[in-house]
Amino acid sequence: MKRIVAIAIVFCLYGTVVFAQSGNSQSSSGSVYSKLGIGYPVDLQNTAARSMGLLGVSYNETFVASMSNPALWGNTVYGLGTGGIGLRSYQANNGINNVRNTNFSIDNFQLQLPIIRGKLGISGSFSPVTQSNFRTVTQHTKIVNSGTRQDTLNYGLYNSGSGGIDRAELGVGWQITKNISVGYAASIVFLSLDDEFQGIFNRGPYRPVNFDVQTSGSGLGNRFGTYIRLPNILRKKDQIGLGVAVDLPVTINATRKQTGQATLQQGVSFNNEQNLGDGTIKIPAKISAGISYYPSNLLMIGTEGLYQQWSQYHNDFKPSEDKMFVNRYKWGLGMQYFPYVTGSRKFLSQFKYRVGASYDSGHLRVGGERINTLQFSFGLGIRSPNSNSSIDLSFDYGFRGTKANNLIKEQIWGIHLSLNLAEVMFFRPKLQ
Amino acid sequence: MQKSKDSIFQSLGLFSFTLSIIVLIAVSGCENPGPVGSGLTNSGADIVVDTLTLAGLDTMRVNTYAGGRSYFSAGQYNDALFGNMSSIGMLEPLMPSAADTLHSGDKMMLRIILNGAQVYGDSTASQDFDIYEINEYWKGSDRRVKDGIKIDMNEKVGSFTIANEDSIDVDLSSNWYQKYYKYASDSKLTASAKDSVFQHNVYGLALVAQNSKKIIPLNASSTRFVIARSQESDTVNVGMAKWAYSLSRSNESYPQHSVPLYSTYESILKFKLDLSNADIESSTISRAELIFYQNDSAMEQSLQSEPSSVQRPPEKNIKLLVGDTTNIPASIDPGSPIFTGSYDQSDGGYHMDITSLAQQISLGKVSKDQQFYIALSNNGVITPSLIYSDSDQMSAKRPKIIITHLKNTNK
Repeated sequence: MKRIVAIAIVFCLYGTVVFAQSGNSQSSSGSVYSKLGIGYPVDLQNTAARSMGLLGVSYNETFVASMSNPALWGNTVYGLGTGGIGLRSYQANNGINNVRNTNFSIDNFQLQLPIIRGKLGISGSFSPVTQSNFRTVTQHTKIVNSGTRQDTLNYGLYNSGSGGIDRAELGVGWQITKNISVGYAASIVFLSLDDEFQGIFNRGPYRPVNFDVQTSGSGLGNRFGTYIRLPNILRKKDQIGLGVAVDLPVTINATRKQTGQATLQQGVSFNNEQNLGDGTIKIPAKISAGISYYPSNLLMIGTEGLYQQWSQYHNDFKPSEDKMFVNRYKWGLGMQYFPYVTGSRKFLSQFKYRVGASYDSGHLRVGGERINTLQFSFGLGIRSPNSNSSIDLSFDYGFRGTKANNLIKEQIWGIHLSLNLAEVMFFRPKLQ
Repeated sequence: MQKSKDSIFQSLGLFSFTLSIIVLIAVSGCENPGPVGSGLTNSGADIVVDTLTLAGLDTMRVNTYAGGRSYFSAGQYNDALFGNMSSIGMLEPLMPSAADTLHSGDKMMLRIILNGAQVYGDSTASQDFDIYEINEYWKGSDRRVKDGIKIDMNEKVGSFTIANEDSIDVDLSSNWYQKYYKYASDSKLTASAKDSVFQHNVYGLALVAQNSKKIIPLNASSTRFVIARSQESDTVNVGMAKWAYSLSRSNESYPQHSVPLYSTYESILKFKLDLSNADIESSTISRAELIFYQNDSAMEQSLQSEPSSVQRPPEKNIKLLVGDTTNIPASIDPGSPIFTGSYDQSDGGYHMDITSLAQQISLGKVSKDQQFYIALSNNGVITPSLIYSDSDQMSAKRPKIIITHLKNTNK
């Protein structure tokens, strides 16, 4: 118990450090494509699924909480808690310039509890839906005044964005029969986007200028899911899992305001605020589905995909961008291997191993080119020897975008870590 | 064995934690933002230069203060553009210090020191002046430009002609000196009372121009009375107790779409600043410049038929003032100029950086009804300027505000 509490404290400290750096910190920026719309979509996968390039809708891991498919909550046996953080590095190149951005993020928090063990479970979670983290710097020259007073003004424009959409969700899963489960989750989605601009001039008397466009709002979300377990299909003790989860469209009622800080004289500054109006942002529906196969409890192979109707996306505040959004497809293939199941005491047999790859067609078409992502993943699960808790680590490497048509190709490195608690503060299975 | 397993778990947990922190620090240190990605969509902001014409410009004629300034003007000049001007210089001597004993046989002179560069008219021509006694009590500090003055023209106290000199000594009449001596030598009066009694009984001197060649600015701090003492064979310098001028102007004739500005406040400009139509936020204003253009061509043309030695005192600055409209001119002369604009010969404009004012207006910290005034500095030198007004809608020389700001292009 003490060890678990100690791990939790370490995890919280770690999260605090990362969160502090990931807020509006100047040192945190991610994909340049997250500048468009309301940020780049974030999938609802846990670190284990991420390690395999999967979403996690078609399989259930007893000791690891999952948000991907509400139906899986019906199979909850233990009280589960999980939280994850991530660090991603983006090296972007447009054929001329190279930039490197890093983004620290809180992936999610989730609490999953059994109401009736293995029959009925609930889940509460907080997770990102989209994430916007970018920073660009451009240099400009402008001819000002005319005639004898004509002058060349050099200035730099700094633009940084942060925030996105987060979801606070509460849901229930029900195992109708031993092999069929369904689930539903309702959520409130919060939009909070900051788009900050600064103009810096190379000389006086021009003063530095700034403004910050803040878009905020909320909406209601609904998710449904089903999970079908088919045991003993090809051989004895094997199992096939089928899962489908549907996210209904979400309409966010948002307001936009422009703020800034004016320095009238040294030490005297004032904030100004201007309401830019209200509007709606429509987040399209999404369907995730997959199939997993357990030849034995040692190995799992799965393939999963999603489809999201981003062509239905609309943003009242940036209607000119709507045409850049196209329907998104994602497909992943992965496997996991749990050698500890054999009871081996070898050092390398103590871990969970996961590997996979995914292809995401992306939700953007810019300059006639789809902004797709190809990603390879590898994961390691570290089990607690005297409990069912674990730490999952995921490493990924991939490419996003293209350099065609003066666009940007990003090389992405990522590391994610999640702590999966499977007993603390809840109950031990032996007590039941 | 169990302990060993725990240790492995803890070690690996610690390992992953440490590894992540190291990667975090290493990668964040490599962050290198740049222009990549800026062209994906509308950048959202750009530096924009907006030019707003200043509407509702009005002229105001103010009878402002003419005494106690650094200079006081005397002379006469007929300016084809700014009219026929006649300025009477007024001054009154102080009593000598207690240590300086005067005698009835002493002689008194007026030592005039003037600023030759600020002469209005023909700087080399001879301007004749007669000096008379003033025939009414006047206060130096309250004296207004257009206030008249009674002069005893029956007896001349002195006369002089000034051409291109910067100083001149003028002998004053013995009768005048005797009046002065009467109070200066009055042993019944204390030293401090002498000045007051003298000023309430003898009203000083007026410098009255006798021809129309120029107006000279007398330096108030160095112009003085000099008494040549007959018995000590030396001189005593006596400063001025008060000084002022009285100006009359007629037959101004300036072109359409132009308005005059006078250092005497006979014409100043007033307007209101409203930036509400500009859609500009205070934090986005990088620079706001208020420009009034001088009608240089009209000013130069009006002097073309004159000798090259004819000049108008050049004015290099204008002042932006705010004041209580119910307390004019006290609230604006001298007032505290909130900004000063400098004349730029290259475009003929007075340029004034009003960035902080524009920011305050955008913040709503300045009332929309706030009255602003543009005036030349009233230091006693008579100086004119001809400013393009806002009446010609097509003119590029209308008064304007150029605002350089960061514009939200995603509104």
